[in-house]
Amino acid sequence: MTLTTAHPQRLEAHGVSLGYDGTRIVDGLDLAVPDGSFTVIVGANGSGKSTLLRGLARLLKPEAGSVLLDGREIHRYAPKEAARRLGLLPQSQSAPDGIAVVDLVSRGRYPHQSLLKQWSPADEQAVRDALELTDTAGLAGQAFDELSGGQRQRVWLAMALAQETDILLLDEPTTFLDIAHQIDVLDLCARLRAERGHTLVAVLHDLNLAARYATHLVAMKGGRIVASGAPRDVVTPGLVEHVFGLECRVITDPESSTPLVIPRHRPFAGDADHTAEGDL
Amino acid sequence: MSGVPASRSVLSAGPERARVVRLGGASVLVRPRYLVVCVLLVAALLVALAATLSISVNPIPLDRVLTAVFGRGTPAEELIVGTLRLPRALNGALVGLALGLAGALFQSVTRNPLGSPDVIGFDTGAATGALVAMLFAGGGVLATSLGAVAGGVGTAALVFLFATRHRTVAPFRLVLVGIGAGAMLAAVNSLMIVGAQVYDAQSAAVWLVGNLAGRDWTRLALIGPVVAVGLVLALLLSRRLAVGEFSDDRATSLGLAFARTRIAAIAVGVLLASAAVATSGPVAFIALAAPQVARRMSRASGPNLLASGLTGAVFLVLADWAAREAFQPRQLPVGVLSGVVGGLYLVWLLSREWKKGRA
Repeated sequence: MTLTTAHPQRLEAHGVSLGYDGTRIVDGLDLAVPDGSFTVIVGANGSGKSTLLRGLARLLKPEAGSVLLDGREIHRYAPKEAARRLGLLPQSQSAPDGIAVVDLVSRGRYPHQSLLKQWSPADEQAVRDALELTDTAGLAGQAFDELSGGQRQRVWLAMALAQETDILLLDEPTTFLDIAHQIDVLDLCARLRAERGHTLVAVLHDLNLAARYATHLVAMKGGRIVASGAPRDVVTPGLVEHVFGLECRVITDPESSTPLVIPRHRPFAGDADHTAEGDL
Repeated sequence: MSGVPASRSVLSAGPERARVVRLGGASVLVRPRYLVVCVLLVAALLVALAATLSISVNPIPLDRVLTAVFGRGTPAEELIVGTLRLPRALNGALVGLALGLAGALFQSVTRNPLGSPDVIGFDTGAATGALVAMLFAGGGVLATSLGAVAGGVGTAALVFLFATRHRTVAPFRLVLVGIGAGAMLAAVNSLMIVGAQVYDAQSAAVWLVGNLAGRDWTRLALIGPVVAVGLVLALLLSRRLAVGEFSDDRATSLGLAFARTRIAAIAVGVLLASAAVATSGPVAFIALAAPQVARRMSRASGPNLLASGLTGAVFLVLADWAAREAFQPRQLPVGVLSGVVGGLYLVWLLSREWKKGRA
């Protein structure tokens, strides 16, 4: 697959191969993340979607090819310079014992700080903003340990937002959250894109949520991109069968008019209702 | 709403109650609580030093202590204070400072309260090096010190090597490999003692307990500069360590290549721990407990380096004083006392970690 984009986008992957200790997981992949999009990467377990995100976030150095940020290879940036342009919400949930929410969120300012610039007015504003946006200002003085899972994820998001990067990558931001908190997090992402023009790239497991929130959907299989584009063009019964090995119907979500995947009922032995219809 | 008025920094909502001091374009964060804790610890250290110089079965009033320190006491007082008690107390303070700092550095980079040099084998390795110097190279002060540093550095390098996979170090694996290395090195130490001449074996065995008796000005001149340099280097790493306490991935995404910081912190920590072991032998408990106690006092996030070092110094001076005086006419090595208290503390810590599902 070659890129035919006329204008280069801010975040691109060119023929990038990624893996661990010689096991190649992503193989010669090209991707241009449309500026100002909410790009969501979907795929089955082991499809390489999280590995791709790690490559885009410079957590993993490509074995071949390159990841370009603003036209320059991302590994050539000084670490802090890259961190002022591109942020990441990683999956790791570990926080130091007893740290308070405001102290945790303020760590997001690290790439903007130095020994003699430990807390500028811009730092102050960014942290207040991030707490406000994620509705966590009321938790500022609390210990992070004592928060619920939904509150924690909002606090992590606040930390990433305090970093004030135009591009934000999110690695499965909704895992371990109940449905209401999943919607909260994704609504906030959609808002960041719409109101602030941020570019977001997320890996999501839930295909229906992905189709609902993405402005640009990327489907991966075996370390390659098999389809990308607007959700209504990408999410088809044929593609879901191909990517996830799942037979399904695709209907229109009555709330958002986005594609909604309904898995086919798979009757099993002893399922009396369906054996009667004889469709075993 | 955080309830923090616009006139104050939002940071003041946290338990550190941080304030911002601005000078032109520069700005520095001040943590009043942390400062107060450090000042109180310095005061406690001075009180502990005064106590250990003065209060004893052979007491010397404080004013006589001061006279003797400045060389105007009686010959007996000057011998007891100037030659025996003062260098021993100062050695104790520096060893405690070094152990507290090393503990804070290691616990920070391993992200684990058990990741302290006495638990993960670095002290034992330094002791192995010192024992080799004592038993096979005559056992001079300098040889023993160099042996301890070589042993500590060698152990750290091996543990690091075995804990590395995919070109990165998993902190928890570092702790596990370190505990294993410590157990093996303890066996090596025992083997050396069993194989040595009776007299050598006995003095080596006493040394292995951890002792400050008879530590003189020569020792102080060796450990002093090492601790001073170690302290400065550690403090320079402080801000990076605070960012690295989440995970390597998060540190990278915040613009910090943490692998380098981790190696630097371990190098400084090994230097400090080895210097401590060279001076006193492996004193247990201080490196493990001091950072945890300091953190609970300061309630500050981050590695709490200075507070941990000062806590270690206060602990060790007090422990040595108690070991010297509490069981008179016998004087116990400080390692016996710190070992008993440390063992109980370790059991408590392990059970707490177990409940949190981390150990």
